[in-house]
Amino acid sequence: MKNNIYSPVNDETTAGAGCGAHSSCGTKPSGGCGAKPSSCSTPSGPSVIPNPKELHACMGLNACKGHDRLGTNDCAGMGECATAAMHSCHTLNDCRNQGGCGLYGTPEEQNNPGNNSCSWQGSCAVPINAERFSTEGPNRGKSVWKRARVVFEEKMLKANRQFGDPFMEGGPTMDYINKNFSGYAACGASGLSGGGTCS
Amino acid sequence: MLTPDKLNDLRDHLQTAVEVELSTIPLYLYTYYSINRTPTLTIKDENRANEINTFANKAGGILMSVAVEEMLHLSLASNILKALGGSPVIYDKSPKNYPTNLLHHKDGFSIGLTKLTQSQLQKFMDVEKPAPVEEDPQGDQWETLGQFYEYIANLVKQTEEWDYSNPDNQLVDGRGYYAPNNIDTVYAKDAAQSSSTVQYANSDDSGGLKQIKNKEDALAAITEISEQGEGFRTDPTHKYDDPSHEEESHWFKYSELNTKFFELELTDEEKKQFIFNFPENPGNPENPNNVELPIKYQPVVDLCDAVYSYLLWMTEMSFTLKGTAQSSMFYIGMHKGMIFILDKIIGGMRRATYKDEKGNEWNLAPTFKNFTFSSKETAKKELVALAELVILENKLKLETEYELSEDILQRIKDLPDVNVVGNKVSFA
Repeated sequence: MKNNIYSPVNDETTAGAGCGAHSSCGTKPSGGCGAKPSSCSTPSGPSVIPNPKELHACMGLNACKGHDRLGTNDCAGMGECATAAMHSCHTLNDCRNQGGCGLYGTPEEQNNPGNNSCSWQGSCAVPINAERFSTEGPNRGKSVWKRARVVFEEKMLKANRQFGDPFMEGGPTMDYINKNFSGYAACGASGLSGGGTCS
Repeated sequence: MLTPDKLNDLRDHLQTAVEVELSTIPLYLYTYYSINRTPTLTIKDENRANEINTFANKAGGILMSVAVEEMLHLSLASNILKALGGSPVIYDKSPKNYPTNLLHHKDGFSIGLTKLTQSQLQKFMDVEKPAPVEEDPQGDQWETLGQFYEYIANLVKQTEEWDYSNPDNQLVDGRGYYAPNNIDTVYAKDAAQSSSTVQYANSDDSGGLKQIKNKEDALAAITEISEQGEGFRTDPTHKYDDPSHEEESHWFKYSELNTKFFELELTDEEKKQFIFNFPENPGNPENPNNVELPIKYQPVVDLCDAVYSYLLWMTEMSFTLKGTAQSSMFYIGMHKGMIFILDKIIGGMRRATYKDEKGNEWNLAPTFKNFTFSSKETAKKELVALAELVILENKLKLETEYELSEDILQRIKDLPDVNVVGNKVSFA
């Protein structure tokens, strides 16, 4: 159900999937969250974005033009990378919608990647590498990024918003992330390891 | 109807059950952490290397799948105790030393902390051994956990509905507290094909957390504990513990690993390539084979013990809290503490090595000893101070092979404070 028109959406007043929500790392979490992280990890290199327009968990999950990590994407759903602070796993996310999902968490959490309601309630790392799969719930054994994209598309359609094709079909691979966005140290491709699965 | 004395007896046995479940967790975790689940093998025969890789990964997944269910059992026993007006004591209740007998187990049984070995897998089978159908329930001098829980179940059957006075403060389903599978419980059926052959060691229908509101709930929880351990009592194979026959019992899982370990006929060199050389029962001065720990590693071992003990304290405190306060303590505290603090500390420790006086090389291992904090008021500050000491040691470059990252220190600082005032949890 993708809308393949590349017409930028500039209406930042629509609530929808958070378009117009102007937040930065460390901002008090929305939704009445009381627990505020005391610090944020700071991605390095090209991934640094001093003032993201919208916080989202991965490639292709941005609600507006210019809302990806680099601020250069043409349309909703076409962003190249997350704006949420990169973090390595479960309960380490700063804010709402910043959890990546997969690997740890309940079936409900794992079925809602990038859609958590509060800080420290995300299920896994950001960004969501293409190789990551869910370990619980209806999406078990399937791609977390693809599930995140479905959740995103459902939210956009509900808000009557257009969106474009993702930058990479299937989401960013670990190899792609490591080459283009330094500072990422989350779960590996298969993650089938113990004692340091995630960093 | 239970007399007040009998009701107290039931509560005492539930506390014993909590401690028995607790004592198994370090056993399984110690062996789990001794395994490098994704080793880089130097074996030239690709098929042999893949066979060993697959076994290493499966052994880790199986051990963790059992360990998470032991944590579930601890919670279920605690829920029954809460429902009956008691409250579980968990902090400082880990066994003082290993090897140890399990609490109230028949004399003569002993189990300790060891790296992955065939004899340790056989010991794990003994712990999870199915109870024969004709075996009498035993509250003391029990030989199987099934026998012990049957004794508790018989007392529960004599309770009345009014005995279940406290449905609150329990760890219940629907709050994100428990998931049977995570990345540490799954494994590849074939390591060469990794994530395309993922196996899920636990199944949703073997049971999860339950709120205990009446006798029926309590009996269902006890059945869940027993069946996850030993399988269905009436099934002579004791293979499965769930209706869909997707999850194997603890005993059967260990039995399969034991068989595979035997069939592999691993050479010492092969074992070295995926099993960290953890000493037996570290930190027990009464152990005749105790390996002396270099003093430079004492701070990180203390930190590891302190984190482990703090996790137990957070769990205990969770059974005194309600609503969002309980979620802050358990959901955030325990998940962060187990996965992103304790796991990361041990994951780093085990790569550090040291030599004993005979020149044997060992890997740095956790001891899972009770760390006694000065007070509940100062516990978190003490924990942070221990972490800062390890960081300071790193900065002083005391030639330790272990380095604690600032990220982990920050996560420790972000843990909830066990010193709860009212029903409000502080993270400061």
